[in-house]
Amino acid sequence: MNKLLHWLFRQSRVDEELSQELQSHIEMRAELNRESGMPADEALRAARRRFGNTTRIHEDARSYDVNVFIETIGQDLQYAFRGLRKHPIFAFAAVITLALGIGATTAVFSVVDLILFRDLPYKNSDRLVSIGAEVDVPGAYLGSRQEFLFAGTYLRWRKQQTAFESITSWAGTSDPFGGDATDGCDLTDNEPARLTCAFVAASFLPTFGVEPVFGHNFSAKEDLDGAAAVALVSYKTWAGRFAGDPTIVGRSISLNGKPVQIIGVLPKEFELPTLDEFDLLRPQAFPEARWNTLDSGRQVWAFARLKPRGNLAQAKLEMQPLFSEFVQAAPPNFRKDIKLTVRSLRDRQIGDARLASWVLFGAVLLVLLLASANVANLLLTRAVSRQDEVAVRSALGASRVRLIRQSLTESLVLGMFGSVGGCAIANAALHLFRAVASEGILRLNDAHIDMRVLGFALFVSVGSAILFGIVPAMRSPASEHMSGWRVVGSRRPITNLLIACQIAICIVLLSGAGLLLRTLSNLQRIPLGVDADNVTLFTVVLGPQRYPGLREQNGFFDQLEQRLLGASWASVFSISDSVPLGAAARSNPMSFVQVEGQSTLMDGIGGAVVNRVVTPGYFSAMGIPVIAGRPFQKRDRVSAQNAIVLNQMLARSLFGLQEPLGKRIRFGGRGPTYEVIGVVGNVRNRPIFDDNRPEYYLVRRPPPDPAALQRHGYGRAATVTIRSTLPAARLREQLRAIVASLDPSIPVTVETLNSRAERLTTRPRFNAWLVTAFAAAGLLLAAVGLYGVLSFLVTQRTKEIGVRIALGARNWQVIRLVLAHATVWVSIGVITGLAGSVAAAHGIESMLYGVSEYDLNITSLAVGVLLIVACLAAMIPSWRASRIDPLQALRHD
Amino acid sequence: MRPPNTLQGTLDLLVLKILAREPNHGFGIALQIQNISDGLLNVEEGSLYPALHRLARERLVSASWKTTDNGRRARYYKLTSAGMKRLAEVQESWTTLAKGVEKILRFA
Repeated sequence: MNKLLHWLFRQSRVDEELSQELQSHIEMRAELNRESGMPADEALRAARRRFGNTTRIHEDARSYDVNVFIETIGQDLQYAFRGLRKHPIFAFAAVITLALGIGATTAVFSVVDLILFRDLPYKNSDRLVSIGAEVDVPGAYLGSRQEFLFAGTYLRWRKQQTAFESITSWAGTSDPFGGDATDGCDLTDNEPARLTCAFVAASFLPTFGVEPVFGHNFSAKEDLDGAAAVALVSYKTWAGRFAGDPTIVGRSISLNGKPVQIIGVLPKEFELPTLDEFDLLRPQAFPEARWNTLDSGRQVWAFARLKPRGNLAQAKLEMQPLFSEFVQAAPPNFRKDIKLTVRSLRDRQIGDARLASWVLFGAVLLVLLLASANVANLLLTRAVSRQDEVAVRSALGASRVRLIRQSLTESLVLGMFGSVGGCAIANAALHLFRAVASEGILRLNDAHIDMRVLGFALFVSVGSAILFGIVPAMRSPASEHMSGWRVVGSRRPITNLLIACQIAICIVLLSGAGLLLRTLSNLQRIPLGVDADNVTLFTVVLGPQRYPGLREQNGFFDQLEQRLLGASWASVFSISDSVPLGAAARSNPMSFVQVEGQSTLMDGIGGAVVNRVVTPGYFSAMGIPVIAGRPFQKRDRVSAQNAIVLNQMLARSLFGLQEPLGKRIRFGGRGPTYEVIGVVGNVRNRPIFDDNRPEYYLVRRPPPDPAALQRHGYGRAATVTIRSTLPAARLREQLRAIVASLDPSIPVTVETLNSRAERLTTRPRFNAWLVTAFAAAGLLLAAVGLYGVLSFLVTQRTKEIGVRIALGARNWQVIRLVLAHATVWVSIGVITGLAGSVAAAHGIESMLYGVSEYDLNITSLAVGVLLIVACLAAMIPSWRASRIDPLQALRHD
Repeated sequence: MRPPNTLQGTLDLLVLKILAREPNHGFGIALQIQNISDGLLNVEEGSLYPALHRLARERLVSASWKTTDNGRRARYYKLTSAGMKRLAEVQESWTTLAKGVEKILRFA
C-alpha cells in the first residue's frame, strides 16, 4: 500500500515538475518575443504555438517512467487499431490465420481437458484409486480386463485393509443382458419405464466425498441383505422423470413390482467412476453371511481413497499380503495370470485414450505454432515496410522501449481478435467432432466451451501474440534505418528460420497423419468374417418382471421364432444371444474346453473362448462361410446328441491337423458331450486391434434340465439377425409389429451390421481424420508463409534483380536466384522435420496397426507432398521476379 | 547499454555539449543551440524535454530548481561525470561520421 502511494505520488510529482518547467519555458520564450517587439498577448500565443501540444510532451516525458506503463496502454491500443484499420488486408490475413490456429487448439483442448487435466467431480479426486485383481486373458472383452474383485474378497478386504483411508465397491448397473432377474430396474408405477440402477456400497458416496443435494446417503444398515429397499436418484432423472419434485425424498416408487423408498437426490455433477449412465443408485446389499469365502459372490469393482499424503506404490505394497491370500484361493491354473492393480481413478477412466489425447493436443499445438509463425512473418514484413514511419517517430523522440511496446500492443490486439474468431471456430469444430464421433470418444458429449476453455483460449492467444510479436519488435528499427547504414536486402535470418521451422512441423504432421490414415485403412480392411451388407440386427430386451426366469424368457423367444418362420420377408434369419463386431459375448477360459479322450494339457487360463447360442439360420444370415462339415439343422435341436460348431481357429488349436468332425468335446469336465458337426470361418469380435479368437457355437434347443438352460438359452436379451434386401425401416416396422403382437411393452433397437462394423473404428477414424485435417491446415499455412517470404524477398530485391535483367540475366536465371534461396531453408526444414517425425512416430507406435513406425513410403510421400506444395508456393514469386521490368525497377525512388 | 540511436543521438550530443559549458535550463539550451549554430539548427521543444528527462533518467545529467537572473524559477540541468564520459564518446563517433560523410560528399 505504501508502495502504491509512493508510486502515485511520484508520478504526480513528475507531472507537476514538468508542467512548471514547460510553463517557465513558455514564459521565457514569450518574454523574448516581447523584447523583439511583439504585443504581449501575441507573444504568449506564439510561444505556445511554437511549443505545440504540451500534453504530448507530458506523455513522452512520462513514458520513460516504467510506472506509467499501464497508463499509456489506452493510447497504444488506439494507435494499434488505427494501424490495423489502415491495412485491412494485412489485419484480415493475420486475424483469420490466428483464429484458425486458436480455434482448432481451443476445440481440441475442450475435449482433451476433460480427459487429461480437469479434476474429476469428487472431493480430492487425486487421492482416489481403483484397486483389484487384473487377469490377463487375451481376447477377453475390454470391460473384463479392468481390475475387479469378487464380492467375498471385497467384504474381507473392507474389514482387514489398513492401506487406505476407506475402500468401497460398486457392483455394476442393472444389466439387461445378464440373465439374472433380480438385476432389473423397471419402474412399475403408473408410467412404466426401463431405468438403469447402479448398485453400490454404503461407503461409496463418503469415499468419493459426495453428498446428496437433498436427503441423505443410505446407511450401512440399509446396505444389508434384506433391509428395506431404498434408492438415491440421479440429478438428471430427478429433474426429468420426476420433474424436479422437491418433495421426492421419502416418496415411494415401485421397482420391479416392489416398493422402493427414495431417500435422496445426487448432485448434478456426480458421475459414476466408470462413467456409466444410471438413474438410481441403490445399495448393493450383499448377502454377507453367505459370501464368506474369498472367491464367493459376484464380480465387483473396488475403489479406495488414499490416506492424506499417501501414495500409490506404498498402498499397493501394503495390500500385497491380502492379495496373496486371494491368489491362493483362485484355481491353480489361474494363479499365474492374476496380478494386483492399483491405479489412479483417472488412469482407469481414460485407459488407452491418454496417448491419443496427447497426440491430438500436440498436433493442434503444432498447427498453432505454424499460424503464429505466419503472423510473425506478416508482422516482420510490415515492420520493414514501415521502417520510414518508425524512423520518423524515433527521431521525434520515441524511445525504443516505447516502440517495442507499441508493436506488442498491436500483436495483442491481433491476438484478441483472433481469439474471438477462434472461439467461434472452436464452437463449430466441437459440433463437428460430435457429429463425426459422438460415441467412442471419451467424454466428447460433455465437452463444451466454458470459462475454463475460454481462459485457455485467452492464454493461448496472448501467448502466441507475445511469441509472434516479440520477434519483429526486437528488431531495433530506427537505428539502422535513419543512419543510412542499412544493408539493402538484408537476409532476415529470423524469417528464414521461421520458414524452416514451419516446413519441419509440416513434415511431422504429414507423416503422422500418413501413419494414422494407413492404420485406419488397415483396420477397415481387416476381414470381419461376415458378409455385412443387407444384414439388419434387432435387439430385444425382456422386462424382468414379466420374464423373471429362463423358462418365461425362452418361451417368448420360441414364439418369436415361430412368427418369424411364418413371415415371408424374413426368409434368412437367426436369433442368437449375441452377435459379433462389438457387443459383449459369453466366453469361457480355453482351459475349460476339453476334447474327449485327452487330458487337459493347458497351463494357465489359455485365453478366452467366445461362445454363442444360435438358431439354425445363423451362418447364412451372417454370411459366415462353412468350411467343413455342415451348419446347424433343425434336427440338431431335438436329436439326442448335442451338436457343436467350431470356428477354424478353435478347431486348429484343439485338433491341429487332425479331422475335427465327429470328435467330442466337454466343458469344465462336467455336463454333456458335444459332437463337432462343422467348422466355420473366423469372425472378428471386439476390440478390433485384437487377433481373432477361438470361438464355438451351440444350437438353441429345448433344454432337458434346468442346468442346461443357461447353456442353451438367451437370458433376457437376444438379437434377431435378418438378411434381406428390404430397407431397414420396412424391416423394423414388420419386426416391431411381430414383437408388439407378442408383448407391446418390449422395446426393440435396430442397427445394421455395417454401422456396427463402422463403430469399431470410430476412434482410430476420429484420430486419423483430425490429424489429417491439422496436417492439411499446416501445409496450407506453411505454403502461405513461404509464399509471403519469397514475395517479400522479391520486392526487396527488385532493384538488384532489375539490374541483373538489364545486364542480360535470363528468366530462368532469375527464377533460380529466388528458388535457390527457398531451397536452402526448405531443405533445412525437411531434414529437421524428418528427425522430428521419427521421434513422433515412435511416440505413437501403440496407436498404429499393420504399419511400421518407420514406414519409408509414408515418409517419402509426406516429403513429396510438402515439396510439391513448397514449389508451387515458391514459383509464383519467382515468376514475378523474372517479369520485373528493369526500367521501372531502377526508376523507382 | 543500448546502442545510441543516431538521430536521437544528435540531439543528445547537442544537449550534452551545451551543458558541458555550464548548467542551463531547457529554454536556455534551446536558445544556445539556435544561437551558436547561427540559426541553422532549431530544436523543437516537443523533443527537447523528453530528451532531457531521458538523459536525467540515465543519470547523464542531474536536475534541480533554481532561480534565473531575472527572478524566474527554472529547472537547471547539469552534466554528471557519466554525462561527461558519454559526451566524449558521442562526440568522437560523430566526428568520425561527419568526416566520412564529408569525404564522400566531396568525392561524389
